[in-house]
Amino acid sequence: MAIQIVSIILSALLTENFVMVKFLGICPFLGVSKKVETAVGMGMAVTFVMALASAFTWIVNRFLLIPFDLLYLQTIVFILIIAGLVQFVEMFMKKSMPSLYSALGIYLPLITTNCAVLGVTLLNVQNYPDSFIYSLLYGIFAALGFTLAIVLMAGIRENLDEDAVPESFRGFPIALITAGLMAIAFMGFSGFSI
Amino acid sequence: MPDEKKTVSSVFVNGLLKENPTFVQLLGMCPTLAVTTSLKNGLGMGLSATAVLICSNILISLLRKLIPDKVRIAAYIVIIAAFVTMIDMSLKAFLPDLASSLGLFIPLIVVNCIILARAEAFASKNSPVLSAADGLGMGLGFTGALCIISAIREFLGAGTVWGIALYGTHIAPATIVIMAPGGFIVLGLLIGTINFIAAKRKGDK
Amino acid sequence: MAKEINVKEVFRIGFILFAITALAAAMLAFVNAKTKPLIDENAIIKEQNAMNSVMESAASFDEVEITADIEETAGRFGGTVEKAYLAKDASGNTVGACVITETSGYDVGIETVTGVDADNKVTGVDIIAMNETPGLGANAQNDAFKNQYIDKTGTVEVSKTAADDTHIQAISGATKTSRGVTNGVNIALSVSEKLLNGGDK
Repeated sequence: MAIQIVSIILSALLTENFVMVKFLGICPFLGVSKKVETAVGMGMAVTFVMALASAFTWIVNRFLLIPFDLLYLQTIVFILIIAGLVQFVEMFMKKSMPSLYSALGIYLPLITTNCAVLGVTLLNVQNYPDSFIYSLLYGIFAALGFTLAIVLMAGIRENLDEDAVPESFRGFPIALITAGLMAIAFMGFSGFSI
Repeated sequence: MPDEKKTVSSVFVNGLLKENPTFVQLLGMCPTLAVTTSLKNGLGMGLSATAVLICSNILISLLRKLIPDKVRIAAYIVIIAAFVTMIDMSLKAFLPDLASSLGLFIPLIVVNCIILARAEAFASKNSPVLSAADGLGMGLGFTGALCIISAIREFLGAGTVWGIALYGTHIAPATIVIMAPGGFIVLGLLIGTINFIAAKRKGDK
Repeated sequence: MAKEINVKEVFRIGFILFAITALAAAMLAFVNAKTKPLIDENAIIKEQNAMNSVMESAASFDEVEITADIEETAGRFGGTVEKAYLAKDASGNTVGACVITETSGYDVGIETVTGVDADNKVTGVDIIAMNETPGLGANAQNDAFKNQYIDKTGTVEVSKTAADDTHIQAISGATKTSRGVTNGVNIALSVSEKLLNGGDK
């Protein structure tokens, strides 16, 4: 059990990093990584939603979809849960945590279409259909892995702005190439499993 | 943007080239990077997304006067998710090999920003015929981009194109190109090159 | 924007959204009913083909119940047994066993079919599903790699340099995948030893 947990944490965070290895959540990774501050905000918002989404979709899958043999509705149900959660979190934050809302608010609607969130819920029901704890852990640490990648990327891009990059490679192309070099670094973790 | 009259062909060409979703609008990056490890996968993914895009564009356009503005995004997502699941099931039934190699990325077409973006920006404001043309153009633009990227990656990284070996066993292919880092770098170089060519042509004029 | 809530409006919106969702669910139920049998059939055909290719001498396969003992054996190699079959020839004699295992390589979900004959030798290995890296791990699908397992017995190990009686040579750059497949074969070998020699009829 303990080993399994450590192994889930390691793989979600590093060896199977969502952005760098699995190519999930690339849009926000490239779109919201111009400043470290916003990257941290996005990462936190995603972590929050992904943890909730992992928990909710697991419960719905285990106690509604499986017993009623409705597995073919998985995608549609999960995306509705995520969209609903995002809406709910947004309204809740606006009312009770206005300071946090003003920091994260603008990223929240973007999360619905962040494929990392739908991806993690689908992977969870595929890999851990029987364990609520594993699903939740995987959700949280995959999101932290996303946060790690996006914050690192933002740190690099902040400095990149001042470098002499060829005109046509400015912005997106150089960001992609930087991401490629980061992905090579992340491959170094691949021997790191239990 | 100039208010030119929209025709089926102009809308189609617009999606295919001028506003190519991958190279110009930079939408739908996740599948672009993840499934372009071989030409077969790239084409399969592109055509699946095109099918979803056309169907969802037509249906959303038909329902555009009926869907209340306040809940339009939720309605779009339901419609898109339904079509995606149908494609997913059909692929599993009729093309099981392709379905297993695309795996998770078929259900993830739901959150492919291209589809939601076209629903919001085009289908909700235009007639079904134009929306279908837009879906076809954008879809084929996406497919074309995926094919270009995947052909390059497969050629450099596995030494094959469409599974056919092109340069014997003497030269070892650069496997890194079909692994994760290669995806980022190939796409970055491609977009940079396209920018370069576009800037040069503008300069000539 | 007005603050007052128009009850009629809320109901209208709710109803439309509900109608769309119901329509979507109905369409999906219809497509599911049409494709489900085909999907299930595909899985069975794939399995049958794989089993026939790893055990050419068998005419039919009888599924065996997966006991706690079998699961425990699989756990020792870090995998699970999905299905196990006894292979029978045309006249109904047991000629070996076929075991479908799931193990992990670079990624989870390598599904391997291994055929083992009555002398506890591997007759063939096939991979039904995997998510390994194309060009690296996915090369495990090549016959040159899979055929290394034929006639191996006992426990197979992975060597990075060369194959011999107890070792198979790893795919270059994909040692983890090679280990994953090998674990599947080892599970199959020990499970079939139990099935064939463990007093099972």
